[in-house]
Amino acid sequence: MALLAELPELVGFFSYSREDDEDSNGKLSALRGAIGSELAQHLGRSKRRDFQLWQDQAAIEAGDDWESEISKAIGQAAFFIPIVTPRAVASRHCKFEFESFLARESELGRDDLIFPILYVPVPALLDEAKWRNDPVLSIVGKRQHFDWRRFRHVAPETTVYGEAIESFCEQIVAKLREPWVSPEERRQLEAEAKKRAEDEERFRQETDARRQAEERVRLRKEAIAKKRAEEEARERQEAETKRRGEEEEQERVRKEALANRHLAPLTAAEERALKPGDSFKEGPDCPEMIVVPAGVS
Amino acid sequence: MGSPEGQGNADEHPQHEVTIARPFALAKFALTFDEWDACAARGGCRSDVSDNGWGRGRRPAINVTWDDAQAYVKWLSSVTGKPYRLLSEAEHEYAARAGSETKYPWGDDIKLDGQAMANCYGCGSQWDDKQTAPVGSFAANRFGLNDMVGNVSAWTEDCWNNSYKGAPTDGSPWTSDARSSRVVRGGSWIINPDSLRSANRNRASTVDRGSALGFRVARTLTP
Repeated sequence: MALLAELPELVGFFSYSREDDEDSNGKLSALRGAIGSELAQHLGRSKRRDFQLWQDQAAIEAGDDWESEISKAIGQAAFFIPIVTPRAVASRHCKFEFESFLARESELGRDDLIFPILYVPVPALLDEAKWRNDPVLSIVGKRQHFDWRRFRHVAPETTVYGEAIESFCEQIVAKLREPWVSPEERRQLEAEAKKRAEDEERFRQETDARRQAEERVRLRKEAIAKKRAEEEARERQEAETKRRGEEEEQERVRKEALANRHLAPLTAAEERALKPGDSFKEGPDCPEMIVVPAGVS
Repeated sequence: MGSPEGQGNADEHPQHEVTIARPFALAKFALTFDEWDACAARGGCRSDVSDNGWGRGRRPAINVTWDDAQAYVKWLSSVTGKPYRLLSEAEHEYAARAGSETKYPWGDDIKLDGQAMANCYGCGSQWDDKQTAPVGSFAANRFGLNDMVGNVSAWTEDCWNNSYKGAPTDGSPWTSDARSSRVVRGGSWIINPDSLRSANRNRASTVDRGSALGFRVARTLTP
């Protein structure tokens, strides 16, 4: 976090129509001078060293490539003061400067660094339907602008003029001192946030992957255990079926033998093997006997 | 064993539990004339037992005394070398009931689904009040035994007592009192359905004989 007011070199841009300046005997240049001095005092800076309020007549040497110089200056500017007059509104230069600063302001991540001064009445500004359609006027119309019309003919040496300058400059200083995240800082913060989000996402994915792997292991173990249990149950079932089948077969053989035996007294082994319901005869003339189970009556 | 309080005859009380601890063998049918005559032919039994003119063969042996019955089991034991005997009164009731607690082995009515289940005076069979039926003429009970009630009454080993007070509870015969009357069980072709109840008791002197009285042999099994 930084303040625009703490930039090593603070540059503002004063945009106006040169003809307006000439027709007012340099009053606009004087206004720029007064604003520049007032801001330098408020910001504790030196106009010779670390503070500059740019205006093309003052800053551009004759013969320089005008547009590139303007772009370069605006590329360093932290605020922009357009002098709004019918000429300025119509001027290609002013429009270029204005739009260049809009781009610069956007790059700074701000929307409060343009401080229009209404210097000569512009009829279109009174008709919203008209200024809405003009890119420059729409900014002037939407943002708060400082109405200088009643100070236009006031002498710079007067208290009224000085107080008006101070009041205007206080707005600028307040904006320059607002907490501000520089584009580098913002990019860094965004990069950090992005990295953090990526880290978190990666951690989440890794955690998910681990959980899924654990779940897969668990399911596989369960499946193996279930399969084993099923196999064991099947083996038990098969063993039981086999055992029962063998028992049934033994029983069948025993009953058959009992029925077909030579009619003679039971051997000890035959007698021991008897079960309730069995029938036997111990001789051709002997009664048929039934084995009655033990029980309670 | 016996009848619940308020039911049956006075001599069927007190109702008590008898435990038959081990399986034993019991003749599927009342002893037949064929079987009796085989014994008589070998000199083990009397040969002058009358069949009342109804025929011998598979009809139950009748007109035999308790002593005749004892002679038969003695003979059978000697020819087989096995412990044949008369059944005890408790064994008779246990074997007749075959797990049932109803009046008759098949239910509380003398008939089952309109079918005659035994031969007695009022059982609905063709032999009712006329004569004995060949053994096995009616369905077996749950133990596979036929004619446990009806047709001919059966001698048992037990002496007669007027109640079950002091009776053994292990299925053994109650012979401590050597009086001459013995218990007969099961009812017969000549008697009414009430006397065919599984719990019903009757008695006869050891020398009594009659056309409605026979016996059934039992055999102790060696474990």
